[in-house]
Amino acid sequence: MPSSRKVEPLDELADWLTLTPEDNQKLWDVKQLDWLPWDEYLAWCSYLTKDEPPSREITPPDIEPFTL
Amino acid sequence: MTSVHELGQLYVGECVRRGPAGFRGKLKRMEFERVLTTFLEFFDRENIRYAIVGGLAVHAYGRLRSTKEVDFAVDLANRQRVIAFAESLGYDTLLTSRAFSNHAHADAAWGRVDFMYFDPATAAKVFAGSRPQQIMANITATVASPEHVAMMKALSMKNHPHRVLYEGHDVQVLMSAPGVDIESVRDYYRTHGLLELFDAIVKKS
Repeated sequence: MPSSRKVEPLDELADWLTLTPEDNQKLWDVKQLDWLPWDEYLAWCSYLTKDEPPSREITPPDIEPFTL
Repeated sequence: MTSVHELGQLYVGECVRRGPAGFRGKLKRMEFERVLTTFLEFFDRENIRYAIVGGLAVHAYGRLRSTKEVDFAVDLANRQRVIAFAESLGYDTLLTSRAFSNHAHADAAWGRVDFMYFDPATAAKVFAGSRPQQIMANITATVASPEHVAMMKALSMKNHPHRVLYEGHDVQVLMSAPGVDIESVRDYYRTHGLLELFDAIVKKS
């Protein structure tokens, strides 16, 4: 059963995921690592997308281009 | 007793062992390696300059940064080519603007890809400062410099103030990268009226 909200918000994940308590614990465990080798990191990011379609949110079209 | 570190490694190791085939099972997920490989091969084949930006770039400089998409930066002049390629793979183009394009695929394995577009002067600076990183076996990708990624975060926080919490942490990590030119980033934040924010972020690190 999905948790209503994490014990502590996983910052950038907070608005993205409906987590089971078990998922949340796993994510926090991984988060404690601070860094992972690329292959493991990409696998972890992949896990974050499980069971949901890709976001169709758009970047606000009035955002200014990045210029230097 | 198993440490938190070991628990995390065990869990992530399970994800890795499952491999791409596992992603096609019950749990449909974005296959980051396939997406990256496909686009990097395209850029190489078409001689298109690019840099990885966004969450993956932050990870390159030391933060385990969650992301659910792949972000690339390319020359504005190549916008139509990259969009056409994304669409040839089946991506829907959700938005095309002077600054960005957003693409989502009906197949979750291909997931979400976004592009940033640079004018010639900006592109020259960003691509000159970009650094190669080996992100998979036999695959080296170009990642935007920590200074430029931190500058891009300024725009994100300016437009989405609620992102300061985690984008600020990103900037902290980026500003601690070896040899980083903090003053150049500070100047950029000053130009955009975000000097106070930048100083607060860096002071916390």
